[in-house]
Amino acid sequence: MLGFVGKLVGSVLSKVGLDFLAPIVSMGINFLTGNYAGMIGDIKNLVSQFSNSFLDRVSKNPPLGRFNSNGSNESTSSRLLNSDFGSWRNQTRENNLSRADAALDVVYDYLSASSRIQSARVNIQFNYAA
Amino acid sequence: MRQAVETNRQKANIAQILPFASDNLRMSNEEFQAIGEIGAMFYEQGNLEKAQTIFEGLIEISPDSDAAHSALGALLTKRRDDENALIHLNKAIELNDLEIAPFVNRAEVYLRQQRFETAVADLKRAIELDPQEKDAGANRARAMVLGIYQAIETQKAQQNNFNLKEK
Repeated sequence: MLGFVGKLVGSVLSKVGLDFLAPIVSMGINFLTGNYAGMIGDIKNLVSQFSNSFLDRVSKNPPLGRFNSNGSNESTSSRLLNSDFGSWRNQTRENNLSRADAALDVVYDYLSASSRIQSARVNIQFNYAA
Repeated sequence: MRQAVETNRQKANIAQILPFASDNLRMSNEEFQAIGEIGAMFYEQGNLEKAQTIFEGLIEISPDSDAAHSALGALLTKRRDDENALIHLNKAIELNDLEIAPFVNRAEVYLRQQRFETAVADLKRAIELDPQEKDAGANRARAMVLGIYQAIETQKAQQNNFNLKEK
């Protein structure tokens, strides 16, 4: 089971931005001292349970958690179509929530730009159809 | 066993979604999530400044959102701002210890700091939370474990070669 590891791991680690790992581990762990015996046992045990197919589905960046979107950008934007940005921004300014205010600015700008692109697409389609 | 872990995670996610939104702003959970996903889109595009602005804003709106702390912790991990990343990753785990991402990212920070045993404990936890190898974040944890395994094996082989030459 462990035989597949050597061939694959080097390229995988560099693809997912983890190529820093090997030198750090090599410098930091002296397996001969026995200090890390338990930990090395854990690692071998974990590796022995891996399938060789998970390597096709590895996050290239540190994973975000629940904000990772599986849907399209358009469906995300559509959930904010009826949101009251004006009221939110008034509230953030009244309550001195400067970071929230800055975040809403970025989101509002993004939605405005997306909306302009969407309108342009509709116009192009309309003109093409006409 | 695997099903039980999955079901517990799903229940925890539902439970954690409810207290997200800020009453002051009258922002719904769905809107909060959508804003987070726009931050995620910027992050995936490599526009870390805008993503960071969004995640920091979401934390100000809802300081007890584990999702917002997890996202900002991930971004700071990518930026190798390890000290600040740990603050948000620890908070995310304190709020929800059934979410995979902060364990994976905290392990990455610990590895850079050569805190190997705590790193491996976090990697183990992340892998246990995804027994079916579906989650790309948990698979990143598996890739890290493989990296550590290979480094140990390489070191062992080099040591053996050295010993043979000595004889």
